[in-house]
Amino acid sequence: MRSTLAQPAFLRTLERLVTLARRLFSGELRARRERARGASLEFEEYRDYAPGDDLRLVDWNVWQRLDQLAVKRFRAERELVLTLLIDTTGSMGTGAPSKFEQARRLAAALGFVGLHLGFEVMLVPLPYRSGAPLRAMRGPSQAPRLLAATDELEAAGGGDPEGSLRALLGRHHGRGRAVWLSDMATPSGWAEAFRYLAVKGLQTDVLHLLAPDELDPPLPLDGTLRLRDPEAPAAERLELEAGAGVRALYRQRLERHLGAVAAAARASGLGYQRTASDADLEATARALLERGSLLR
Amino acid sequence: MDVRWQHPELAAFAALALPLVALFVARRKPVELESAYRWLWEEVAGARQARRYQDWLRLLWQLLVIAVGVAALAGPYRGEREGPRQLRITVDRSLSMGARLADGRTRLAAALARLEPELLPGCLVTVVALPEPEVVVERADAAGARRALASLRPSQLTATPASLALLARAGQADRRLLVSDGAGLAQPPEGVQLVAPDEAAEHPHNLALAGLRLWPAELQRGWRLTVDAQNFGPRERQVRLRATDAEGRRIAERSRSLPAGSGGAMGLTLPPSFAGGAAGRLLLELTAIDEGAPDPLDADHIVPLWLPELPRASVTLVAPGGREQLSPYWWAIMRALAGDGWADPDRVVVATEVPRELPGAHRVLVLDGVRTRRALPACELVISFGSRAPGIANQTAVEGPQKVWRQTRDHPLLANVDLGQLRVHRGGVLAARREMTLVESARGPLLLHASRGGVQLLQTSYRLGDSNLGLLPHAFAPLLKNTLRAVLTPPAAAAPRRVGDALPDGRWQLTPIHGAARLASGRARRAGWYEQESRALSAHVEARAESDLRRPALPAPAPPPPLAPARVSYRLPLIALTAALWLLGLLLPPLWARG
Repeated sequence: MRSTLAQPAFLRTLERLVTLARRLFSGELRARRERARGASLEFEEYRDYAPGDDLRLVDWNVWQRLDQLAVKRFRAERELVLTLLIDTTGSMGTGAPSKFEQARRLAAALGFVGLHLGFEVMLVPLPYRSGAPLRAMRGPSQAPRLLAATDELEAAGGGDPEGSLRALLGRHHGRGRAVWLSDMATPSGWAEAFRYLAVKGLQTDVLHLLAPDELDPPLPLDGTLRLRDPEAPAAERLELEAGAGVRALYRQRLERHLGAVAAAARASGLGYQRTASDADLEATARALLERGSLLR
Repeated sequence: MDVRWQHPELAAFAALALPLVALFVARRKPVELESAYRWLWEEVAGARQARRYQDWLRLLWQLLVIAVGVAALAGPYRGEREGPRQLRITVDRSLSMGARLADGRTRLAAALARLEPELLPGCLVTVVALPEPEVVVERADAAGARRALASLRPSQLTATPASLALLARAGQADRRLLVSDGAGLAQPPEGVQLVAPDEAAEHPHNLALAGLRLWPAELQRGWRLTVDAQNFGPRERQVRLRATDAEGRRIAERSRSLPAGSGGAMGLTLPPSFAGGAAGRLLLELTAIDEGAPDPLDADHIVPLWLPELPRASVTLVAPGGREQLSPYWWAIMRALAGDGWADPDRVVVATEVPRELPGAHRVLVLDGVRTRRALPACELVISFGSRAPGIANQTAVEGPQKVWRQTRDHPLLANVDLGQLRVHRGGVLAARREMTLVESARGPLLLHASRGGVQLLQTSYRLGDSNLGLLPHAFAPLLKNTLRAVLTPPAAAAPRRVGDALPDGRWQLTPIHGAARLASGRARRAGWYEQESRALSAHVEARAESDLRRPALPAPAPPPPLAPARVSYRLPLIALTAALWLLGLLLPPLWARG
């Protein structure tokens, strides 16, 4: 399995980010290792087996009794889970460059760093299909698998952020860190999702992705503007008259929306960062890492 | 509206609209945009709902501007002739034009109605009326001319054909119309179109009393009445004039034949049996008879004329120069007084000084150029002109025209002055204190009635020579007469029926023509003078009857040929409209965007 992300330039970027993260979080890593050598490997719970899990962690007694593969989890692990929530709705596919491409590369970068720093990384596409297995990856050896899994994601269809998160967190233990990469392109629902994440105790950073042509849409001076929603049927198109006031009206409403999303995230105690789809990947990831809360 | 185009080929410029429409269609091709924030765009669209049809409206507006502009360039116009049409309408409103048609309209009204097709927009119309030559309107538009024509009424006078032709051909005009029934006109003047009423619509019994002359003013046995009768009907008629007294007894009768469209005078001499004096009342009936038998006319065509009972009041005239230097106004005053029965001309006392007291039954004191400090004696009315006496305002001074007598012989007191319409452009100012203003002018009271020390004073402030009245010589007497009517108590306890009172409204027009009174010391002398004057007047009337009033029936005039209406161009208004629309098109969109 060869990922399209596994390009030399991108991998070099990832390596630089790992180096940066190791330098940033060296103290954290040492403490975690000492805790792991002690009695920190205290049994915590079972979770479903996912392909790629270390077979040594499979509890074969459970398999014999229940005919179901379960992996044992220990207390030290619960603090080392990084959940990457990536919005795969159709709206993410819009923009030039595509928001989804940027989200995928960011997710790959953060997951890559997480694997190298000893995190268990779960890549969860949103909307989450209820009952779908959660893929957990651990250790640098899983990096190719992470890149491949990220590569397989596609932006299509619509979704309800709140409902998806409810379904996901029903299966998720709700601990660890999370990064939610999304364009928040729904008029409502995200505020409730933010609150739900906070209630579940998942320390989440919201990475709000916007395309440059969403911030400053290329509008004609006059004539008719026909707008297509990637999540709506093709027949549902909105037409309006272009003109001098349209851009200002749109910008005004977009700023209001962005402000509301940021305020709701901060009100729920989540980290919030807005980034453009044409922003430099390394710089964005570096800023996220340097903020310090993501992997600490 | 029949609009024509001076340059119809310019309509090709309408093709300018094609690229505009093509550009519009090209611009209407929608620009596709994919956006994740559809609901934001829906809010934007909701806020710009009013803009939805803006482009369509703009296109329609531009097409409208082009259409109006192209129409303006193409030069739309209505009518045929270039420039305004100068129309001169001369209106004969003589007595005969007052004759009725079968539908009740007068000949004048019927003829004026036929003018309507001539009064086109863009016309400059001058209307002149005769007799009493008067420019009614000068270079008025059609609406103004229409209003002026509607205000014209038939007069009591006659207009000579010569004067009609003279006035109709005077002034500058490219079309001349003479509104007349053609009476006395052998043919219309050259270059003048005759507009006449439809003779076929004449009332079959169009008969009128043109005038009544009593000579002298009061009725006495042996005295003579002269009546002008007018047959406006389409055929010759036998006309009878019958006089009966108040009890219905026949006093005198006279008949004569009047050819169609002609008039004539009939004289009646009051027989010795006529009581005369205060009891003298006379009923005159004018009827048409055919072959000795009464014409089957309805009651409207029997014209009763009740003459008033005459009072026996006296007038004292104070004239320093005596009878020989009486002001011409004196005659007018006496005519007014006697004609309405306010005074008895036989009982006129002429004095050179203001008397200390007046004999009984003296009602009126007339001061003519009197300078006195003596208080005026008690009487019912003081008329003063050119006099200075206690109780008379200094401003009271009236100077009359010099040709009163000659004028009144031609048209004795035919003026009918409406006091409400009286206009005087120059005159003195009367101090109006506790006086009753009878006539108000722009500068102050024109005619005052004052009562001082029990004496009624009538004061005028203007000089007749300065008046702008059409009938200067005749104006004073009826003015005075009407004023007297307002000032004095009625001459008789029971108001007598006056001439014309019994006339049906709108059917007949009569002119009471009062004889002139004159002072005379002795009856014989007076009778001789009266006889002489009567003969002169009769001869005059007869002569006029032969010339003016004899109206051979003319064939019905052909309707005026239609004249091409004046051209009215719409180019300038359309250019202005184009500019206005274009400016609005520039100004409105920014205002709209701001709204």
